[in-house]
Amino acid sequence: MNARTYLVITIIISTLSLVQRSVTQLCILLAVCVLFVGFLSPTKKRFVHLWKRLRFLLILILFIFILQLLFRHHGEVLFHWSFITLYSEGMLIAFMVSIRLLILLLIVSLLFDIPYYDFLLALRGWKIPYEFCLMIASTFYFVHMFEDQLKTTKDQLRFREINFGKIPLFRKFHAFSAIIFPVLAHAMHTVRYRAIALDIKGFRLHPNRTYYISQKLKWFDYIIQIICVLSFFLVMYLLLKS
Amino acid sequence: MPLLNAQYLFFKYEQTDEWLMKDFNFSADKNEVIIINGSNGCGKTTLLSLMCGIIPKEIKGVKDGLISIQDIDIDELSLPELSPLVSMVFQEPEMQLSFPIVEQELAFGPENLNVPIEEIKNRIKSVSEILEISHLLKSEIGTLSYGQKKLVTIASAFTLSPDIILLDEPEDGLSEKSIRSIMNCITHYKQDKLTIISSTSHIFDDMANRIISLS
Amino acid sequence: MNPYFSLQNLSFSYNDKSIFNEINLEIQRNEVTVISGENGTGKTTLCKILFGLLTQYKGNIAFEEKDFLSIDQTYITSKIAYIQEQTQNNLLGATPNEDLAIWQHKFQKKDNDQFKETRDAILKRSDIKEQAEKPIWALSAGQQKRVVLASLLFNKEKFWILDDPLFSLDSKGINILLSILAQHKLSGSGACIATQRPKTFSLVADRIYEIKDTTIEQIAGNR
Repeated sequence: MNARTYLVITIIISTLSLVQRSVTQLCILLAVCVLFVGFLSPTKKRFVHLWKRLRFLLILILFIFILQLLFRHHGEVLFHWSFITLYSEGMLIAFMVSIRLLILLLIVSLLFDIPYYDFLLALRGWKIPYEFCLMIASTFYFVHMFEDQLKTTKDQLRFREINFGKIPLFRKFHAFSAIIFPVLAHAMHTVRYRAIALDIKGFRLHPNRTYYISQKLKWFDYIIQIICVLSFFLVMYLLLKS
Repeated sequence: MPLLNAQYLFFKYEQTDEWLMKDFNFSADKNEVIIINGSNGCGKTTLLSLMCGIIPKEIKGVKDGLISIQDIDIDELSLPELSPLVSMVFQEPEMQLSFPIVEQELAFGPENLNVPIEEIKNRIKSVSEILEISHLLKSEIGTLSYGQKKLVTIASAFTLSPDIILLDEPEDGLSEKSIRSIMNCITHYKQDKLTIISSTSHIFDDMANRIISLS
Repeated sequence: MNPYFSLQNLSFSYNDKSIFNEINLEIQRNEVTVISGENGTGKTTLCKILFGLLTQYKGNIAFEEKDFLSIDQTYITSKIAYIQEQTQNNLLGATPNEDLAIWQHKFQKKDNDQFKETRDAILKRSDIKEQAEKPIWALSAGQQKRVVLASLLFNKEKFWILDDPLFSLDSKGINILLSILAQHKLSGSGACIATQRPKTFSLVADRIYEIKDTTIEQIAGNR
């Protein structure tokens, strides 16, 4: 599937998640989102990948859910113990905010699975200036690169038989800064040299450039995009009507 | 008029007292292969970086003297403006690879120079065949071995096809077979180009017109 | 003597491409085994398999006569020092001095005079003492590699797996590596070295193998 189709799906689902007003509608949207991410993600072992991603996000969402629940004081009292009081409206809003956030994080994470150059070509397909496309795509690239650097550092700690959890507390801060600072410095050093490498290959030399590699939309891209856009307008119509 | 000319070149990095280059004079022309030999840390990379303008445009230092290409002072041109004239392949491929697929990496340079699509296709085909990486064109760069990545960076300099190609320790991490394919590539494109290779070994000495030893 | 590693009918594929097809290999604890081969033939893959980083292989690997897959990774890292192909991946600290200090204190102990003295001697031996306080990313590739070589001297009792250690080294650096290897061998320890240039190790190597077309064959050394 073309990266443009992924972008269309992401924009539509993100927008719908922000306008849906009921928990039921959000749950349906979440199910649709999980199916999209599970079946359409460009990575292999989609469902394993999806579960790993969901597992991490669920912890974050749970934290936000609890915060919303504890600090919204509207509606009927559902539960009271000591200083903790849970309200019906708080429960509703906690669910809605959490599901909304889960949908947004899931669907945006799909973009991180797309090879960043495909992403760049997709933006370019929408006639966005090349430099702007490269800047946006490079953000994803930097995230991937920083993740790789962190993984390399984690491995190296393991190879040196250093268990970060077992470092005495008073040494942890020093250990953390001693490890993270070179990772950051190295990542920035790499980014800097890669930017130089782009320049010495003539990047932005001319206002126009040739595009040797382009990605044309295929028939199923058109079908999926049409279905998504039509579904979006249908849902918006039903929401406005109600 | 030589293609590349360095006159009365002095250079030191900021915050150091010692001059790395002192009154360095050098000139070279098309159809030449020059080797710059020297041990680790003697300034080979610095010299190549000076020749392509990375120093002092991006990497700061105290420079005096003149480096000109086709009689144009390289200080007057930006790095992209210099790209049709001179380009450099860094020693470390990870510092230079920006695209996920090999073919994208090879096409990037000529795309920027507005080279027609058919010509880009021919260049990629020709260079990848000589360097024996045709089978890797559609591969993800992240899956390549270090040596293969190195060949990709060298290939991308030849698809860009500037007048002067600077190779910083290209043999590093490569097998003898791959080094031979680099030699074939340099020989194939020698007529139109000046190729300058920095090296700690003497692997390329036989194909060199001149060998400069730095100490 | 029982082999340290015993690979039997080892097969490994990556992205549907076969890297090894039923290879057999024995590596002795006290020998220097060199594995050579062209770019992309699987030298790095073999190193990763031997260090326990890749486990999706077919066939059997015995390590110290036990099934390799049943051995905990922490045990493997306590017995084997692994130097990765890409020099920067082996470095942790901001400077060579800091990087080597981490090998010593592992953030469990305070840096002390004895550590510093040992470090100075090792930095000097690796000919990197002058660059000891410079940022690692500002060093040349060859200088970074010497820092990595220096770190081997903190792992004298371990078996070494070195993935293309000749990278970026000039002739002086190569001599330092060979002398470290010779000393390591004299102390009764061994190494497995993946390299494009097996001839460089001809004086220290006990066995030299070549990986070609998904198979491995001994081309020199003890039989």
